[in-house]
Amino acid sequence: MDSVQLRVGIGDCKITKSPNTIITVGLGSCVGIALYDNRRKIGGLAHIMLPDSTQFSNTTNKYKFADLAIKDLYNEMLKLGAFKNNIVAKVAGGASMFNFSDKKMVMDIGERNCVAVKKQLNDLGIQIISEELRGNRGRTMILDANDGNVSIKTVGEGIKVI
Amino acid sequence: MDYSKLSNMQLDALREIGNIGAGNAATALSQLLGSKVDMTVPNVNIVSFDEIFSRIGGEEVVLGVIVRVLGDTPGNILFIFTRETGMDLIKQLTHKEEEEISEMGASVLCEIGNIISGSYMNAISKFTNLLIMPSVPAVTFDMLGAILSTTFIESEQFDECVLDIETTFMQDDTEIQGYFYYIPMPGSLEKMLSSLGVK
Repeated sequence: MDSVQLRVGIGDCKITKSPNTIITVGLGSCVGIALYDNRRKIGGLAHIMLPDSTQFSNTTNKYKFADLAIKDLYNEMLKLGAFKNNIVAKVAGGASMFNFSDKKMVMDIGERNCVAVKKQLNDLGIQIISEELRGNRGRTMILDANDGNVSIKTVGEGIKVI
Repeated sequence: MDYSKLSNMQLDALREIGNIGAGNAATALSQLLGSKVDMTVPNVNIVSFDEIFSRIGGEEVVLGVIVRVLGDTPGNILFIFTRETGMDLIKQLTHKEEEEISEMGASVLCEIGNIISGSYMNAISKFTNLLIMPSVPAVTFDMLGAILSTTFIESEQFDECVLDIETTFMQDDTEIQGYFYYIPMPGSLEKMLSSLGVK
């Protein structure tokens, strides 16, 4: 069977089964959350922009927000046959892209996204088995639904598998 | 403000604001480089977040200089150019050829960002009678998608529809290709339009 690569945009989420892969490019302050069921070989990837939907009145796109997106991704995976106890998470992103010499100008959206993603995963009882968060570089993330490996591409640093 | 509901009159006013800002910025850049710099008439882009990312692919690696816009109309100014253009600008100003972007090179690019955004904001400030100031710039060499998305999010623009004012600079023989974005925070455009008396 040929494998297909699905593409997750910003504020978006996709689920697939082996042998397919899912990619999301250009994570800056955004965080990518890969959930994976190792036995069923079902993987899902979300690309969130903001930590908390309760701060906003307009939440038509729930995949923008860490709290709503992760919950939804998790439920969709269960619907597709993933087992609760098998699902683990790998997360990447949440960078502070702009390294201002005046630290007052640095915004902490990346940091807040990291905290919110971890809290949400913890609330759902999903274990984070590896992470590549913070720093000041953009990242591209590819989840392989065949083995649950997540490849992280960083400019100038090559590819790292977590 | 729902950007998709801006009237033609308001769009014209915004384009004119961009034009005055960019005109001054082009003059400043041309004085700095000692050669002629052209600019395009600014576009006021009102697009969806998704559209920006499907258009650029996101993985292209570029140089970005970002300046926070402070004062009455907060937002961000983002100056994007290719690595070649960045290297070329460094060479023109330091008369030194670099393999990698050194600390000196990065500070040259910061200074260019500083001068361009400063003259852009000064011009808009004078035109609208508003207090607008630049922060110290920051420079980054990274994926275009990551730079753009972070800038929009940091400008508190994350609705389906986002707005930026975009200009392209060109230096005829060496082909400086620089994209210059002003990305206002919500509320900033309203202030500019109302101080110009455009309803």
